[in-house]
Amino acid sequence: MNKKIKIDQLIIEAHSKNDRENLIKLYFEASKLFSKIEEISFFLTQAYVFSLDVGDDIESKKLFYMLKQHSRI
Amino acid sequence: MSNDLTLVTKPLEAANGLPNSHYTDQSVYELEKRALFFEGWPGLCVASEVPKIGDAIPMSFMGMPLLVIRGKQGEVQVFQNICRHRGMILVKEKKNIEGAIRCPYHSWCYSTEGNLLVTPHVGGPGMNTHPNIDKNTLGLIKVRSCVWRDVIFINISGDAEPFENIHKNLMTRWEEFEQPLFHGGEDSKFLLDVKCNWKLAVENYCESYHLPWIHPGLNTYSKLEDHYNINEPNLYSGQGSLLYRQFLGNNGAAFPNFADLSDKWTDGAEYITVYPNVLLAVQKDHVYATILNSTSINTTEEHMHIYYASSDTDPKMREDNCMQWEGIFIEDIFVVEGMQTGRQCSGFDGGRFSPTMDGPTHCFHAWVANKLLNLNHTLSA
Repeated sequence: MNKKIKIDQLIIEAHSKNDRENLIKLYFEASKLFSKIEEISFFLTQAYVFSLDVGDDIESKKLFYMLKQHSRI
Repeated sequence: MSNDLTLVTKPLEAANGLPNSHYTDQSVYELEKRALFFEGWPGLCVASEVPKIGDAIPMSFMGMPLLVIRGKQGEVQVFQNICRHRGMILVKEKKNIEGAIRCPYHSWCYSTEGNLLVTPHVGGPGMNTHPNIDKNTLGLIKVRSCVWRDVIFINISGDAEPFENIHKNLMTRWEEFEQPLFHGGEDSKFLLDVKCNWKLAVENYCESYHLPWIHPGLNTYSKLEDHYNINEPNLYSGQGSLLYRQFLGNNGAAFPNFADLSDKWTDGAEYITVYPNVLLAVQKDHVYATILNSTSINTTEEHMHIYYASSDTDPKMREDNCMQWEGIFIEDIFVVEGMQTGRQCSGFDGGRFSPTMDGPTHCFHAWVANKLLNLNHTLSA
């Protein structure tokens, strides 16, 4: 199965369970499957929001700086 | 019947009570909401409801959604419970905020201190900034608040005189009780839903005149003549007892007393309404706060919280004590609901006060009337 389709399914499943820790990982993994900066930043943003939501300071700092590197935050 | 509020502010001997419209007319209710609640310092809830960092409770305060939260530094804060983006409700149920407050609509995130942290995709997909979105100006709307005796008082308008200034007199009066208060927990609180305008609950609480008839059990040991009126115009009113009988458990055990109280409190107790809606009591071995939450013009929630001098008190005794108080408050329900129904009678002129016994009620009515007269003056200026 196409990696993008597979991760899309996993993301939908995690959303349905409100599994926010998993959503951080999945959105981060999804960002690696794209090459355009807009696409990468979209997924990093999604991961960043859920890292803030659950209070995962380490992940949120990491994701913040990745977005900052791309001047996206 | 007259709606002239100057009849209410006359001296007790000549005054009438507040007219029916103050209990039955929605337009008057809205005026009171503004003049007495939004521009004053009403009680919202108690800080013990948010004991841990990140604890958050959404509240409806006279229809306005508010959020009470204990921030990372341990301080209690109150915000309007809406996102600055589209006005969506942020928190729908009591919870612990582990990280940020995330709007369930577009996921704008706020810190527990109210700062706007991120506006995802606000400048387009993956672009989280926009020149016209200044996060520094879009934090949660803070509601001015102040915690006294565990009660969270709020000033929605933000421009009232500081709480400490207004209530300096009462704080001095009860200075001896400025000691750590320990909420008894789940067994030391109750909620009563009452079908009356909130003011009737205040009026009934302020006076001792009704005790022999409505609370005959109390009257067996704390007679009417053992009570005195407390009237502080424009501030508070209530009643005091010179013969407080301490609650005792089945084995005769008593709750520990608050430390270093003067002789006045050996047999004395006081029951005061901090206007508009907080009913407080001090007694040597326990105190309480009842917050009236007006849910409509003719419905009121009474939220009671009991506190002790020590964190180490007997659970069964606490439970029995709470049940005793709940029983007393329940005895009052038919009275306040009966008076609410009575306000539908067109012939009622606000009532004639007993010049001897009804001072505390008149004091409250005069406070209401003066606030509304001042508001009318402001509106017409």
